[in-house]
Amino acid sequence: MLANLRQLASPKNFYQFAGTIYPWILFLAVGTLCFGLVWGLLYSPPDYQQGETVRIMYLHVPMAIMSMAAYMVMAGASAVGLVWHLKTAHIVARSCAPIGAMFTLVTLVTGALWGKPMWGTWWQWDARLTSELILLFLYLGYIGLYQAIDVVETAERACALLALVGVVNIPIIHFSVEWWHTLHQGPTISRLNPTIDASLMGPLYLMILAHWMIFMAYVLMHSRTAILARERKTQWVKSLV
Amino acid sequence: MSVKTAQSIESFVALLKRDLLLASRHFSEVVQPLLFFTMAVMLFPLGVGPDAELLRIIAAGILWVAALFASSSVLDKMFREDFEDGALEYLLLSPTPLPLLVIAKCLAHWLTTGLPLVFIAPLLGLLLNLSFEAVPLLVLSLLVGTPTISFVGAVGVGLTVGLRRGGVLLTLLVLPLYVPVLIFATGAVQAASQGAHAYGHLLILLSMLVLATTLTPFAAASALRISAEMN
Amino acid sequence: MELNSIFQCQKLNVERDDRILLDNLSFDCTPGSLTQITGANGSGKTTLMRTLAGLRPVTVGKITWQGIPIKEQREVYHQDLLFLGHSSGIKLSLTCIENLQWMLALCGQSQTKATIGSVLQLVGLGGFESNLARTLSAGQRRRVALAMLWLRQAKIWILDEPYTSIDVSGVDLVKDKVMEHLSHRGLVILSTHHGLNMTADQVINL
Repeated sequence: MLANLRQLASPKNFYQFAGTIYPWILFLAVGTLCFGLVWGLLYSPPDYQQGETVRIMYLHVPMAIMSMAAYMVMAGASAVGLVWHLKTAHIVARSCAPIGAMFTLVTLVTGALWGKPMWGTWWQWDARLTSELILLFLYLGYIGLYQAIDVVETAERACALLALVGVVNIPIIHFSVEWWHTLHQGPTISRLNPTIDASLMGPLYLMILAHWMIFMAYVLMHSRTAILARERKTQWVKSLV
Repeated sequence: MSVKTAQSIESFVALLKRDLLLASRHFSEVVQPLLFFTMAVMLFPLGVGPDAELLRIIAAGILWVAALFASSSVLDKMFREDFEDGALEYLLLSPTPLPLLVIAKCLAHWLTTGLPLVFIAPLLGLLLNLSFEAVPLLVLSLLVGTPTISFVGAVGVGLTVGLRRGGVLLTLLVLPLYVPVLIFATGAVQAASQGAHAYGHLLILLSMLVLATTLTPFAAASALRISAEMN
Repeated sequence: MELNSIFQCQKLNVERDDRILLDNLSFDCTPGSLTQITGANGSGKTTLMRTLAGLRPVTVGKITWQGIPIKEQREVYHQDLLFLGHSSGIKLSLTCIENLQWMLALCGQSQTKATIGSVLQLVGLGGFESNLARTLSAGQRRRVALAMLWLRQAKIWILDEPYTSIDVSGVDLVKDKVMEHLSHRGLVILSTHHGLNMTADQVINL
């Protein structure tokens, strides 16, 4: 069973499989993104409290969801790579890091942009923004460690371990930041009602889907190039290039 | 008690004794993080001004942030020398389970770098005008919090010990993981200085310590085995 | 499978930095046999020795000790193994005796100070027992590490370049000790690019 799985997940098979589904995913990503943006920015009603600024939500919320989802996927792939010694899983895990860091950075920037009209300040030590900032450092640490180790196999295994340590810590960090925030919350900030009107939900869901597709398309593409680099000495890559 | 267990305990004690002996022969290395800690704390009043009331409010934060930096600055030493002179191979090739030996290393590291901070902190706290009732809590929070820092740090050291210049990277890897300790430790001191109960905070710090001592030795052991491949 | 062979290396591949150093290497060792690993610089001697000792993971192939893969019984294997690598692990600010004491303790063994002292005498370090390792020469430090051959009980010895930085009398000393270990049905795997001065039961040239 395991041998079959290993065969299926060999770099060569994954390269071909990714090559087959990659155009479709990319097509879906562009399609849902265009449709979601037009719907969200032009055809959805403004919020009764926040007005037009609520539209930042259509970027901010999917980005925030994906910043965490990318870490989970990275940790999951890392665990598979460590336990079953699957090269492909390590490569997929590695591919999640740059786009995950990018999602996190954009979440922070859009959060700041949204914060200015809402809170009257660019940065607020809000629990979620602070957690997101720490998440960015976890991503950067992962990327830094990968680049510091010269031997690819060692780098992959060390980073996989780091991703697992990170994933155990994220809930603890998140919980403690939440707790810290409730303790220190200043009296001047008025929290807006977090419930979202149903008319805004349609484009939001569509945008979340679009971001998942972007993520998948990126990971597939990045993994394909990484596989070619890793397997450059094998016969099948030589005959391909 | 089986022969195996007795052997393991003997290795554990021998490693702990060896590291303490080494520390006693390099006493200046034990004093350095203390000086670092003291100086970092001293710089804050010079930076924010001598306002006693302001210092009292931020004292807990200053002391804990300085303690985090002081322990991070010497974290790298935990396995660096062993890696470079080959002594790490004796740990990796020992019949004693590696996580147990990692615990001995962490314990030795804490006794020589974390524990001294606990003793000097009350004095620095008073310099920062920390209220008298908060001092015992400061000591307790450091006593429970600093071992967690050594244990969590061991994983980062294990991952970076094979790198020529891993120092800055190590700090980048471990500081985000210290956030929960920082929050609850300073929370405890602040609660005490406002006259509130701080048992809750201490219990959470304690549970973090328990979690760290049970999980991180395994992670650090795997990290060391991965790093050993680089040699 | 030959009945006597208690250490086996089956179809081992050794890679380093994306370079295949050894492909499909197989050999068996019986008790009382000496296996010599030879090869030019960069041929992968040290990498192979570290893999055999269990310091590097085996990705392709199998290394077994008494019929069981070493990664499935790491602690048993390491109980029986004495490994001497390039760097000897000597702590410069500890004395010779203190160094040997912690090394033995980590191997799960112990010897009295008198025994350690007499072995130090034997390896030519009489009078240096309480000297800090910092004050010793490179050859003398190597001799401290080599004293483990006399102090430590182990069935299999993996010695990576044991003759590095020791003089002729030291080489003879180690050679005699290796012969003695073999005569007690011990097993030795040794890499060297010096002449061996004894007959190996098998030579593996990388």
